[in-house]
Amino acid sequence: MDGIFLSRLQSGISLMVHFVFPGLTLGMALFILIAESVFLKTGRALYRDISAMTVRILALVFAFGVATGLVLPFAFGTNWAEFSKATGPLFGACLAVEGITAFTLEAVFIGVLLFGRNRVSRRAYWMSALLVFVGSHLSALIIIATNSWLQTPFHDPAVAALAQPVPDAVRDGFTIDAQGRYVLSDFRKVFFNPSTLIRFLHTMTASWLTGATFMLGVAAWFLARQRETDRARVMFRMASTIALVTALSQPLIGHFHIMEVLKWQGPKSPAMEGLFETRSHAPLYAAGWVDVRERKTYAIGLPGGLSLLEGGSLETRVEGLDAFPESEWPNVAVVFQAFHGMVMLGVALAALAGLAAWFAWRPRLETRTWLLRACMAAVPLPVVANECGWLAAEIGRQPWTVWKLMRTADAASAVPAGYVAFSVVVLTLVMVGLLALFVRFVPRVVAKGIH
Amino acid sequence: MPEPTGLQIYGFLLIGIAATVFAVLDGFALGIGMMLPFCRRAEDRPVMVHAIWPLWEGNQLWALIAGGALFALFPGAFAVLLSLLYPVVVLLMVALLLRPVAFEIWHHSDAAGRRPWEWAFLFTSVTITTVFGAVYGLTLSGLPFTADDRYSASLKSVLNPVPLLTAALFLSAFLMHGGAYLVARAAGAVQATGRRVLGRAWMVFAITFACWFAAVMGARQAWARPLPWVLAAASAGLLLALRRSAGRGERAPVFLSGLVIASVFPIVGVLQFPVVLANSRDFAGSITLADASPAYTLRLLAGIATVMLLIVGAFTIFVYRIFRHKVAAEEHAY
Repeated sequence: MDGIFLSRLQSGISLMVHFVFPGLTLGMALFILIAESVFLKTGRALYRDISAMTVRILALVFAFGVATGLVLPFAFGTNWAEFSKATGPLFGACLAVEGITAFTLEAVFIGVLLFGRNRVSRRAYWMSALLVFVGSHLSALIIIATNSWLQTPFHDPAVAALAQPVPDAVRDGFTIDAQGRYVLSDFRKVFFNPSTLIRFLHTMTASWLTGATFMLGVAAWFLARQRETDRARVMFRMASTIALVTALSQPLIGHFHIMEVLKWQGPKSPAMEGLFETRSHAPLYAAGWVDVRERKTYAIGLPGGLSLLEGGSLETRVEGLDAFPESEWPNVAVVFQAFHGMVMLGVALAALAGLAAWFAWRPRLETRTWLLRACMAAVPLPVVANECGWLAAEIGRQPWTVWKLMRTADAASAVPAGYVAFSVVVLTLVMVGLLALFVRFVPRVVAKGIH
Repeated sequence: MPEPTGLQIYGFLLIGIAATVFAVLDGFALGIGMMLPFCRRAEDRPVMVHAIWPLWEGNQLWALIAGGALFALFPGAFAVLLSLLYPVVVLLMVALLLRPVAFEIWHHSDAAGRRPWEWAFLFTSVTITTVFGAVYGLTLSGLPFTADDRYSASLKSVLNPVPLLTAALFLSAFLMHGGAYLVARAAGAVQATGRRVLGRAWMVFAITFACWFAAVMGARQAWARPLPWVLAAASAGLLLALRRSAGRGERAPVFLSGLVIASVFPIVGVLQFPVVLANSRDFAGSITLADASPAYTLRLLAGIATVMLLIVGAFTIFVYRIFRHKVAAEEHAY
C-alpha cells in the first residue's frame, strides 16, 4: 500500500469520525435556542428544563466534536504538504478566518452555556445560547464554503467543463502563479463559489434533522419509561415538528443541489445516479448495485424519472459517464451506494417524522410503544445519512483534490509510507475508542433526566 | 534577502501575539493539568478541575488561531514543520484528541472512574506543552529541509539544546502559572498547594530561563543586540516581583506570572526576525518573511484578525469576569 492511499484512508477515517458530531451540535444549538427563547418570553420553567438537558447532551457532543475536529487541519501539513504549500494563501486563509471568527464565538460562550446558568442574568444566558448558535452555524458556513471551493472553484460552467481550465483573477477570484502558488484576489468570489450556498442549506437542514431526531429519540425514551412524561411530551412535540419541517424541505433542497452538481461537477452526478450511457428517458433508480466493469447498473427505479427531474421532460438527454474519459471517473460503485443510501434514509426519516408529528398532538402518546421504539431506533439514522452524503460528495470529486486543478496524487506529502501507516493505526485506534466512549456515555447523560 | 514589507511584519506579529496569548491563557490550565493527579487529597482535585473547566476551551483556541494563521500566512513553514515532524505531530494529535474528552468523561464518572482521566490530564498537558515548546525552539534552531523537502527530520536533529531547553522552559513556566492561578481561584488547602507549586516552579523556571537565554543568544550569536537584553531584563524584574507577591498575594501572582510569560515569548520572535523557520542545513535557505503569502491574503487576514482580536479580547474579559469567584468542590455544572 502506498503512502497516498494510506493518507487518504487516514483523512477519510478522521473526517468520518468527526462528521458524526457537527450535525448533532448544530441541531442541538437550534433546539436550545428555541427552548431558551420560549423560556425568556414566557418564563415557563418547563422550557428551561428542556434546554438544560439539551445543554448537557450538547456538552458531550461538543467535546467529542472539538477533539476530533481540532486535529483535522494538522493533516493538511502532515499528509497533504504539497496541497498546503500551494493553496495555503487561499485555502489556509479560509480556515484561519473560521478559527478567528466563528470557532472563537463557540469556544468562549459554550463555557457560559455550560456553567453560567446561576451566574449571569436570563438575558445574558439567552445571548450566550444565541452566540453559540450563531458561532456554530457561521463555522459550518465557512467550512462548507472552503470545501465547496474544492468542488467548484470556477464561476463559469463552460470553463469548469474544459479539460485544463485556467482560473481567472476577476472571474474566479484567484490565479495560480509561476511557482504553482494559489494567489487569492477576491475573497468573496472564492467564498461564495457556485456551490457554497446550496450545499450550506442542504447540510444545515440535514443537521437540524439530525439534532431533532436525536431529541425525538431521547423524548421517546422518557415517554416509554413513563418518566417525566409532561416534559418529555413537550420535547417530543418540539423535536417532531423540527424533524418534519426539515425532512420535508430536504427533497426540494436536494433537487436544487443535484442540479448544481449536474451543471458544475462533470462525472459526479452520473456516478451518483449510476448512469453509464448518455440517453433520453433516463431512469431514476431507488436502489440496486453497479457493475463498473460491465458498465451496467442493476437497480429498480422509475423509468424516465431522471430525465423528467433534470430537464422537465422524458425526452431530455441526460449525460452519462460515457461523456467523460474513464480516468476522470470517481469510484462509481461507492458513490452510487452512498448517494442512494442517503436518499433512502431521508425518505424513511420523513415518514417517521410525519408519524411522530401526527401522534405527538394526540392523546396517549406514551402508550404507542411501536412509535416510541421506532423513534429511539432512528437516532443514528440521520448520522449515517450525513456520512453517506459526505462520502458521495468527497469520493465523487476524485481523482481531484481541487477540481480540475490539483490531483489527489499530487497533493500528498513526501513523508515515508511507514510513518503514515503508523499514524493510521494510532489515530484510528484513538478515534474508534473515542466513538465507543461517546456511545457508552450518551445513555448515562440522558438518564440524568430532563432538568 | 529582500526587505520585508510592513504587511509581512504585521502578519508575523499577529502569529506571535496569538502564540503569546495562548501561553498566557492556556498556560495555567495546562499547568494545573500537570499537577492534578499528584494532588493527594481526593476532595481537592475537583476544585482544580472546576477552576479551569469553563475557560480552557477559549484558551486552547489561541493555539488554533496561531496555527491557522501560520497555514494561511506562511504555508511553506506550516507544511515543512508538520510533515518533517510527522511522528511528533501525531503524538500531539493524540493529546489534542484526549483533552476535551477527559474533561467531559471525568465529569460524568464516579471517583474511581475519574482517576484514569486525571492521569489523562497529565499526559495531554505535558504532551501539548512539550511539543509546543520544542516546536517554538525549533523554529529558531532550525530543521534540516531541502528545496523540495523530500527528507524527514531524524530524532537527532530535533534533540538539540535549544528545543529541549524551550520545552523545559514551557513546562516550568506553565507549572508556575498554574500554581499562581490556583492561588487566585481557590481557597484553603488548594490555595496552599498553589502557593507551594508556585514557589518551587519559580525556582526551576528562573534557572531554566537563564540557561535557555544563554542557549538561544548563543545559537543566533546575538550577544551584542540590545532588544533581547531589554526583554530579558523585564522578565527578570517581573520574576522578582512575582517572588515577592507569591507568599501573600491573591490575584497579583497570576497577573505577574502571565506578564513574565508575555515578556519571555517575544524574545524568540526578536531573535528570529526576519526568519520564520530556520534551515539547519543551510541557513541561507531558511523560510523568511519574504516567503509570506501574497499581499491580498495578508491584507485580508490582517484586517479580519485585527478586528476579531479586539472583539475576542472583550469577550474573553467578559467571560473571565463571570468566572472569577473562588471555586468550591461542588460547583454548579450542567
